[in-house]
Amino acid sequence: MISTISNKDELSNRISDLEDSLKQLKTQLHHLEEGEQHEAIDNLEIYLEQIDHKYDNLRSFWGVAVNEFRELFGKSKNDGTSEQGGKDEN
Amino acid sequence: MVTTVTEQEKELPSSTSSSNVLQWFYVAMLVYLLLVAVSLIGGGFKIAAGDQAKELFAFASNPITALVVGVVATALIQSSSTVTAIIVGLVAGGLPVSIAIPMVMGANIGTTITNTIVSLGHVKKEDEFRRAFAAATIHDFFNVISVIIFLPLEIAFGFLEKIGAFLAEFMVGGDAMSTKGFNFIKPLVKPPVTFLQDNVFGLLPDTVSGIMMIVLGITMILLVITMIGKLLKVLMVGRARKIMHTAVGRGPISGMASGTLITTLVQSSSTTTSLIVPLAGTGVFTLRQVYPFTLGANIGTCITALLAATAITGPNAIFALQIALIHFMYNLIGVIVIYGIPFLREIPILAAEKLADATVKNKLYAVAYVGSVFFVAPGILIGLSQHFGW
Repeated sequence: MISTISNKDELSNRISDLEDSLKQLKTQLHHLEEGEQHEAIDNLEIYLEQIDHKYDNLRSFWGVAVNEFRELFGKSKNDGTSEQGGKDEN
Repeated sequence: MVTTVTEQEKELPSSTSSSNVLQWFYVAMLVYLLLVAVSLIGGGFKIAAGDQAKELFAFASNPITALVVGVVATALIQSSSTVTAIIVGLVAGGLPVSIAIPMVMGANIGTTITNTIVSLGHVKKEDEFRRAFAAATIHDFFNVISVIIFLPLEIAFGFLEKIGAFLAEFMVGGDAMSTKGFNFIKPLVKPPVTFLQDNVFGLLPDTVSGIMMIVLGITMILLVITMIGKLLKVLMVGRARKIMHTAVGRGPISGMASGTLITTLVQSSSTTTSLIVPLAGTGVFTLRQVYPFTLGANIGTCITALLAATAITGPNAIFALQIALIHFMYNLIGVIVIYGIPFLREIPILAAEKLADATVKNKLYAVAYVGSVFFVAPGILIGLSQHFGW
């Protein structure tokens, strides 16, 4: 909970302190992000290798897409059946 | 034991460097073969079609058809460098530059299928897939928007054709900047082409020998660019790493420059744009950081067509250079206009993010997207343009 500050100077000092802290934290975050990026670039060979596996990528994607299609088709079919059933009951 | 290790350490760098020298020799030989292949296509067309080359390409005189030819051919071959090198060869053989321009634009769109396929490999991890797919499709959306803006302008005013003609004239015909005097590539390329033309195919009728030369040229380009790509990927990985390290935290212009440089080094925009996809997938690079890098790849890939144009001899050499320069200027102007105008710059980002969000929820969007952008929409466009006579 931030305590209420009535003095104008004290308040502006507090704001500039907070702004400095924020700037420092942002710089720290920036350095951390850049460090991660440099680390990833160091492993460039691993990422380059992935380019050579285009057909494996397609195959694994196709498997997931077909499953989703079946689920979607199965679901709508089931929905249709239950609706039909409901109507029959009525 | 110590001495053995020292000897091994001493031997290792020298054996590595000698293997590197050998690999660089292979690259040089392959580049030479690429130039010979482009020259073969040009020569083959001249022999097979003679003055009828323009009529031969009448089917693609409609810019939409030419655009679609570029998109589909590149999507199937998965290499814009190959397609643009072939286009340079065809222009050298008599394909009008006005027909070649939409083909080159189409090649830009077609090449983006490769990184989209690479992004599909992340499908099993939801967040990773969202980021990777967006990083791949941002390139597609940029290239589609570029065509939407510049193709109608080109049809209406022919501005790219005029810019290309001016630059080609300036480089080849002008006294101040003439390259005629110091082009050492043409005399190197001419002997094998003349030998094949006169001795190997010379016994056959003109049309047959011309077609044989074209087929041999296209086959050689396909093989050579694939092999160059593989070799350069290994040879240039260290340099690419250095370039990327330098670009980190330096803003979009630096990102573009690094994308351009790496693509020039590996001679393949597909490699550069596919390389960034898994990097974006991990979340280490944001979509906004990846975006300028992929645009740099668009500019860097023009080096292959420019290189191919240096191999062309004869009266059509200037047109071959013109289409290579148009390819470069089109990509450069595209980046300046679309990335330079904030409103336009945001469109590919928003479109890629929205599509990635939808695709994560339902993978069939990805199937529909790839099918429609690269195959169905081109077919519909051809049908409409033929029907309405655009």
